Amino acid sequence: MAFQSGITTSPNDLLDKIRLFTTTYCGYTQLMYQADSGYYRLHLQHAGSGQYVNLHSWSSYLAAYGSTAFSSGLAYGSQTVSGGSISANLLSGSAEYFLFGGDGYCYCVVQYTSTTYNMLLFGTMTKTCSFTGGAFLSDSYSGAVRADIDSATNAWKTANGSGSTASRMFYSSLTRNLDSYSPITFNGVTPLYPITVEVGRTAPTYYYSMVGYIPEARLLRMNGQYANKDIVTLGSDEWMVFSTSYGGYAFKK
Amino acid sequence: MAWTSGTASDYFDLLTRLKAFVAEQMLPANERWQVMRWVPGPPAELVLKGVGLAGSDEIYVAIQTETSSDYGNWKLRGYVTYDPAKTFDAQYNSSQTYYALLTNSAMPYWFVANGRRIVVVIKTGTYYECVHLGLFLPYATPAQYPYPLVVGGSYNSSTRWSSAITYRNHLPRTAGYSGAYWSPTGTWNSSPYFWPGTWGSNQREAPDGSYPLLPFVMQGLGELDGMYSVPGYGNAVENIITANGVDHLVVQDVYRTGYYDYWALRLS
Repeated sequence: MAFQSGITTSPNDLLDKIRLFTTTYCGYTQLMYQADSGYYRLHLQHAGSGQYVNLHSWSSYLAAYGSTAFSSGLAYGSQTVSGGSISANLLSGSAEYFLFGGDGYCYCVVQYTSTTYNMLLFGTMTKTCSFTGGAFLSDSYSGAVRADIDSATNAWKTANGSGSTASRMFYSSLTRNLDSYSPITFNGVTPLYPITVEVGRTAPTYYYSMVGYIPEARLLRMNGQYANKDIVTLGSDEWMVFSTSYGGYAFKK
Repeated sequence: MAWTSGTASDYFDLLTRLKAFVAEQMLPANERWQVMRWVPGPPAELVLKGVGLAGSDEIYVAIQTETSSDYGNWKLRGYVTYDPAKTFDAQYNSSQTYYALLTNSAMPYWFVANGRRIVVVIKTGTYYECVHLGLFLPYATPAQYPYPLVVGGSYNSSTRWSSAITYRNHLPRTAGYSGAYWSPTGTWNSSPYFWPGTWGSNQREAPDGSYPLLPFVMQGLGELDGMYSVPGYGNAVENIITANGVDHLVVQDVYRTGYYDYWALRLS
């Protein structure tokens, strides 16, 4: 695991920090990093899983999406087969940022207002079954999972999709249901629950299959018990928690 | 081994086999349960003390048989303490009685036990019965929750094994009538609903044909040990699912065969 935090001064600056972090600690190879449309584009591939991630800085935010291939001759937004368009706005001027990473994943949390944080999360899930794919991208709301199942190839299943094109993770993860029972009344403990990943199937309609977990990330109910950037210590592990409009997240430092 | 299976000739033979397994046969030997009372009956009575995983616990559970013309049941109770001078029903701080609805004819069974808890699955005709006696895994330290005892069968009153009563469910699928737990504040409470509830109603097996398992969470309390929710789609009772190298028995909730009416018992 790797952890880095500090102050970022612009989307360009944060993109460069992500580039250095992912290539140093997360097993990603830099395929391209160059100026583009007045800002920067960054293309990464994870060596182990083969996952492609395409990122771009803009005036006030970072954007990213996944693809199943990379071509240096194609424009930033034209990589194929694309899926999982996500973005994170930054507080203008100076913003706090946090990077959590390990082999095959990177979670970027960045300050958006004085009290709120946005997320740009990508990686390869911890699979509980065998299938082609496993890459995921998510921000505070939207996202997608790569899953070549039911005879599909290069298929992305999106967090706001329907039926066979849908996925459920992070804010829509099954374990989010357990928020209602936190904290535990008799000892005040707030459990950190694994983030399940489910994907839609072609048949029957609106059926899902659970395919894995998001690595080194958890869901929790903040409920006034925790504030952004608090540390939850479990054994020798430290988890930093953040609140979003869709519930709390914990990332392992 | 920590589990076994076989066929008992009736509800009494089932009880004697359970006694022999948990007190004399199960491994590791240092987790075997101690027989505090054995009355062959009828009614037969068995009071057991579990010693936990480290040998220092005192977990009291009890079974008493009852019989009718064409069936025989187990009455199930959990105790906080045990007084050999008191009857099955008169122990101090005893739970309400819950029932395993059985037959007086042959029944296939599966016993799974460790020093903390005993789980029994019994096939009665085309129905399946479940018994849980012992501790669950609390989201708490031993100091915060020293005695997380949960006892359950499938119903809270006596009836015939073939009764398809609406609220008759296995403990993990309880609708409030299947069992009770000893709370951290020192009272017996009806077991709450278990998460993930109706997960499975629109859930298939994994794309590779394997089945995911999710632990049953006693909402706001902890998890059952070795009992998991599993999708029922394309599944069937008595299937064996292998997860992390360990076999799991697929069980149906009494008489139900809907997609979310199945669960899995770890055979270890």
